[in-house]
Amino acid sequence: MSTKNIDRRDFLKGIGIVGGSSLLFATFPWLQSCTPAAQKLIEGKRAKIAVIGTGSRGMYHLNNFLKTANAEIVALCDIYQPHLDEAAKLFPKAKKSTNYHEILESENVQAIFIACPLHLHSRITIDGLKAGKHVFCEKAMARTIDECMMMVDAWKASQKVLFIGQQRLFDIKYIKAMEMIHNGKVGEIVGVRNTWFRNNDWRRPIPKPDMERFVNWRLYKEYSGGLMTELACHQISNGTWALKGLPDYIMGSGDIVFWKDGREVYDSVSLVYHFPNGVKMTFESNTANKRYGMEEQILGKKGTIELSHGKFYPETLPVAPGIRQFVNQIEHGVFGNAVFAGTSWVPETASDTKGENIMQHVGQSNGESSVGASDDGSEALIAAFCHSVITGQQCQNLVEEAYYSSVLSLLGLQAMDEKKVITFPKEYKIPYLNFA
Amino acid sequence: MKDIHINFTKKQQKTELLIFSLSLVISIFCNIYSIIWYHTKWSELFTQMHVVVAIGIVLYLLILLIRLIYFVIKMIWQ
Repeated sequence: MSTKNIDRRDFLKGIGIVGGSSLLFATFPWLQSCTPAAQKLIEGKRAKIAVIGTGSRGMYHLNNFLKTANAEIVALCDIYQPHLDEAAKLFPKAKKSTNYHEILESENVQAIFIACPLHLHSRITIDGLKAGKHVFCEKAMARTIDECMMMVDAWKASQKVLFIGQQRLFDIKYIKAMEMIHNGKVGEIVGVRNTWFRNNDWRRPIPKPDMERFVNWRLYKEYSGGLMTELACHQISNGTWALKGLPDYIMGSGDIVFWKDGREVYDSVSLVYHFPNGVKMTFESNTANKRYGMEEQILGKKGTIELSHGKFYPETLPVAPGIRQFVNQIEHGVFGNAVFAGTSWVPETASDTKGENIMQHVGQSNGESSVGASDDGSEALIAAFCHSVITGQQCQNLVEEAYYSSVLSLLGLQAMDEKKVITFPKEYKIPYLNFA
Repeated sequence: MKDIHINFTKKQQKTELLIFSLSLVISIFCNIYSIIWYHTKWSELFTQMHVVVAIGIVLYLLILLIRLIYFVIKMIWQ
């Protein structure tokens, strides 16, 4: 399989390959800002953006902004001076601040881009919307479900643009795969499997001992939901996207199996999301074995799609040419083993077929990087955000998608913490899909 | 060490060509038989030509091997 960096032109071309029709936008309404016609509207215009949080993830996005013609970074904010100085090297003209309120007061800032630890997401987002700024907030939405709900309410009241960093929604291979799924290529969906395996301690080096919780915030419950809010929330939307529905109840189990180093979040989780039609979506993650890496599989009666690899595996393999079948039959006749029993005892080991690429160029990530991958839709997502900031038009369904992926991740966490089956609470339903 | 000269007479060349052609024809008939028997597409007459040629070569080599064994046994016997 060939891989290459997918630039903006490739992305637009990719959408063309996928369809570019009104049918496409009915299924993926958030892509409307990516069309050449929509891009023409913002030609020569730039969104004035302040980036709040210039750590590793912030830097990843700042580099993406460098490739985005319609963005101007006017301010940078971080409470950790070394990070702020590092970011200022990329954008020396941007105003520097260690207090985000200063940024919100600036009239020169149209939009804020939040790449802070999770527990700060809701506070800064709500403050930003109230200050009249458009907001891009990294995923997951917030540390608690109530905070997610408060963010949605603040967004609705503000009439401003709100984006959450769900880059898979802008990743061509996912769009193409979902189009195939919705067109019936895999048949009726019978299961969704997500796995995210790594083999590292998820720790960052700390300059001073008292900075442990500040630097390694992902490992502490006060700031993070661990694997659920950092990884699962990306993959959980696969099921809702493919099935066009939301799960009704969730069960799961989480433990600290290997990394008993004082962390509070699980290093091993396994969950089942049950959909009203009986289909189950699983999420499994382990940080002490990476053999199976990051996998996302949509299982259908007619075939399987591996989203992260951009591969399709039909259940029925194409019939081999007659002459090859003939040769095979002779081979089996000459070299075949004696039959001991019927086929019922034969173990159904996985097929080793190579599958079909769903598109010519597939950017892949093994999910190991905790900063960000290339070709994962992030650049297109940022470009779409700039478009929305300039035009003032919200991308449809983005907030709803992000809200439910975050809430479902947090409900999964609750199911594991309480060791209970959690039914989706009525009070947290916002109108979308089968919860409309 | 001496040079080894292998001479093929016209008759020998014709015989080899005939056997190879025969192998190819058998292989083509196998393809036709397979298409009918396995209900596959008639376009395989052309698309599977590389397989047909490969089978023809294998067949020719098999016949050659049998002939060589026959000649060796014949030489030992005599």
